[in-house]
Amino acid sequence: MTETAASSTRRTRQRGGSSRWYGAAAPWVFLAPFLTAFILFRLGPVIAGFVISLTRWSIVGSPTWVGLANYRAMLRDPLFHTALLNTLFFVLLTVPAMVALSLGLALLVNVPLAPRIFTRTSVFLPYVVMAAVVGVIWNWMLDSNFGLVNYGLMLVGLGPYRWLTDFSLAMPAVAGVTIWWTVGFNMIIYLAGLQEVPRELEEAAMIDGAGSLAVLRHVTLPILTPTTFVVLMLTTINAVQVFDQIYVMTGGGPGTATLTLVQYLYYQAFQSYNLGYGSAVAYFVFVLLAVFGIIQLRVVRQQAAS
Amino acid sequence: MIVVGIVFLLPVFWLLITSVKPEGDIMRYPPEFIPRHLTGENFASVFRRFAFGRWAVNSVVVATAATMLVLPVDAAAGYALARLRFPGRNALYLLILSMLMVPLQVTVIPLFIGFVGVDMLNSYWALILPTVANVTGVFLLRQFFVSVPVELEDAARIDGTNQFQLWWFIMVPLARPVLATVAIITFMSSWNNFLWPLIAVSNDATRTLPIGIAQFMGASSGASGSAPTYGMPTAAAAMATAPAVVVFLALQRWFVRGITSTGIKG
Amino acid sequence: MKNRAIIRMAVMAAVLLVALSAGSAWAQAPVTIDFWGGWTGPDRGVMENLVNQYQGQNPGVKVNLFTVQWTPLFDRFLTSFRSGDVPDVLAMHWQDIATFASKNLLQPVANDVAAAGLKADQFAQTAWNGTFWNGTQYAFPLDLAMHGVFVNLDMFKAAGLDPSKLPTTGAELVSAATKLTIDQNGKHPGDSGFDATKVKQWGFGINSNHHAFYYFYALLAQQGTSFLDPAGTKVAVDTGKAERAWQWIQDLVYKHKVVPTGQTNAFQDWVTGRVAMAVDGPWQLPAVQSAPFAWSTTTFPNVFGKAAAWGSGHILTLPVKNDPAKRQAAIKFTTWLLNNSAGWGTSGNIPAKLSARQAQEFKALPGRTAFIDSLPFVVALPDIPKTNQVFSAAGPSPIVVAAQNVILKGEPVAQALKQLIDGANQILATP
Repeated sequence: MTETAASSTRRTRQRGGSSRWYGAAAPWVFLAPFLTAFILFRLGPVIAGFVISLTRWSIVGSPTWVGLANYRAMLRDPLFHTALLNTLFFVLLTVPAMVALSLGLALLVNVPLAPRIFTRTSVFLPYVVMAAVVGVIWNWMLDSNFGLVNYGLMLVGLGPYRWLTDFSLAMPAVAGVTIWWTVGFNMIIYLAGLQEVPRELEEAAMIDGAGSLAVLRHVTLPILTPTTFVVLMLTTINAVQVFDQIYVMTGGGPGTATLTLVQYLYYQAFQSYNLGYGSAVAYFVFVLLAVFGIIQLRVVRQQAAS
Repeated sequence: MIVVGIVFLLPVFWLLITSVKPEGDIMRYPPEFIPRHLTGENFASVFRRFAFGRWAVNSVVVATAATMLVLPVDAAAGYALARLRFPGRNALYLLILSMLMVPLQVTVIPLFIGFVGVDMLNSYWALILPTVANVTGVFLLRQFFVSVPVELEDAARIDGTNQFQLWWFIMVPLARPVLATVAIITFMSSWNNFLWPLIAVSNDATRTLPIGIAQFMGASSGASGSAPTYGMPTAAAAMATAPAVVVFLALQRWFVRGITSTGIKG
Repeated sequence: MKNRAIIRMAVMAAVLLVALSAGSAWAQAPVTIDFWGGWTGPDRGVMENLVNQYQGQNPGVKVNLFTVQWTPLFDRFLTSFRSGDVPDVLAMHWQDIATFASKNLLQPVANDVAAAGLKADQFAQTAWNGTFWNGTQYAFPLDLAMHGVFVNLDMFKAAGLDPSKLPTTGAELVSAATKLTIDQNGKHPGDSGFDATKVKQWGFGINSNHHAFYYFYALLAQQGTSFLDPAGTKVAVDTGKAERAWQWIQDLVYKHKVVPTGQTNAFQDWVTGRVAMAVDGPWQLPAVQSAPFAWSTTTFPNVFGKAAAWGSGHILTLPVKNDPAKRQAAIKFTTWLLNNSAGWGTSGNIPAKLSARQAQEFKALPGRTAFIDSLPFVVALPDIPKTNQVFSAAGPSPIVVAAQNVILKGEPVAQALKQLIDGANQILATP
């Protein structure tokens, strides 16, 4: 994809290079506002955060330089190992399901039928609910003895399940809530992508006798590849950095069953006042995501090439 | 389709039902979907006892300003990164993208120290400015601009359009569905943000809804707890959710009016 | 003659000056006191009323009450030293002092407490002791709270138990809870054919968070042992006694089957009539008032022969700040709060000041007796600079993980205890 962008820009320059609005400075004029904010409010603080990760600091007082000690301690810390494994498990539970579901829902609500605005809105609605409220609602719905979900299941003769207190069910339960909470957001990215699929193309394929599944596979999905890349990437980033729903629903429990990397970061930095150590965990998350990102980029490129 | 909608809506519906029940009725079991008593008391006491209106105004101002700033800023950056050629473009794009991968929690304290340095805490600016560096928005827009056919730009360029006009009059309108998405992300992340506003502002004049509501969101997290209450928090949450829904409803027509409907692509 | 005129003029000038300065003092801008606390439930409303009452009586004073859950509150407190909006009065618990005082963020207040006419013998002794760390007094004692057992008397009677003899020992509690646990066929745990998956009414409820560790902590004290060494530098618990303590808690769920498995919110289950008895603190009392059944409270069970229940209390501290005028205003307000804390009793917390407990306003409140009876045997958590890490209410602190491994996972107690000791020792050994 990046290659196509580069080559198309090259063609642009060859054909229509006559306009000289701000000349060679043009890109920087376009970029200046964003870069200013980016450097001041993101890149700068991130670099400062890295410096903090090389210190021992409890927010008050002055930091003590410790070099890589936080990183070394991290590699020996059993809680960190647990958090890493749990995070990978959460990624596995949510990312594929999220991509498939958000695509399915987008296709569903893109069909011109009467209740699609209702459906689109209700699927999206959970995304606007504040994290703290998500915690209140779901802790209550998923209560093992007296929750609404088990109540419903018991009416049809199932359960009860200890959703948030069973060591092996808690993470899937949090994953389920995550999908409920954020699938609407991914759905609208797909929905925006779907608007780029020329209806004429789909209709033409239909006229040629292709079934709707075949149209989906051979016409719609290929055009949606860039969108899928975006959704995949954002979903992975959000899954590796999962925090809010864990914090409000389980706090990492039961035991350490839902302890994830960012929950651990928060616990260390803001609940134990080990800001340096917490920051070190953050930079591990960064490295982990960079690796994921490179893998995804490779896969997408290979697919684009084949 | 309706079934899907209802499944997603059920928990939110439960929230609404709870907010109109008297405190004593909320925790009944088996659960009651139809309240036996209706009350507006939860809503009334949120307003009577707290500066809820003020927090709501603050939230609206901050989220709206953030969105208004992010859209042009991100659209320009996304465009430059997709369609303009300059040395180091890919490296810059990767650098920007990589910042999505660092958990934001780590930037809170450095940002705080920075804002203390320029003495801008407790202002709208402290809440608005950090959201302008919206990397997800740049990512989405850049990915979109890359996919727009080159022929379109070329045709316009032959007509003598300059780079700025090309961007503003041709590309930005095309990007409407994506811009709507970016608008929603920005608005929502500003609307629901907790940790940064907690640290950055400390009075009702600039306090936003999530921190305001947290003041009476009962918790058992302390060494000694507070008895849980549900009426006021759910009433406040329902009211805090409403504006976000309105924003979504207002933006959603943009999703169905894209390239295909304007017919440019054909 | 002339001299007298001069003197008269001088006197008049002096009078004028005094009047002017008094007038300017009177016209002074109102003093504002920033008052922060972690009360986010009904207690918030009670404190709000007290604050309003104080402002009504002191027109020149404005008290800004800010509440948010304790964890973000303390984060905000730490950052306030850079942003310069340090609160004038900060509430916390006994065991939190060391965390902040060791960072030099709190002012010693012994002189101010004495100057305000407050003395040790006016307060519950544990509450007074809770204001000290390392021999220095850092706070004003507001209240105290400890574990007790809430009892649904209707269920108690229905099970044929005597509501005038509520359980006070471990054996009595288990026996009553067994009779109060009823499956859908009317069978009790221990009966043949009892089905633990189809229980209609549970006998007892416990929490599976940090409070479960506090139960354990009290059960250690009941056996005359403590968790840390006296200096607070390492775990020094008698492992045999510690295992017995965890075992007793675990048996409630897995052996006696009187506590529902996977329970997270004991009190909520109790107040909605699904559990007959539940252990929790008096801060839940405001939520009981509306309970549609007869209820009472009894003391935390004495399992090992020596009565002990975990307890803590709210204290009011004066963070380090260089503003003498505000400091005086803050001390005046704090003293007033203590002297008028009978009303604070409606929040469920037991006022630390004895006179407040004598007030008719407090005596009229129901359900307080068991908690007041517990006062002599309250045990407090260690107050060390690392209390906020070792004894943190947040996961994955060693105490929360241990409690959940014991109660929710049913892990062998020896294993859970070892993990607890290792986890705590590791934190204590880190600089």
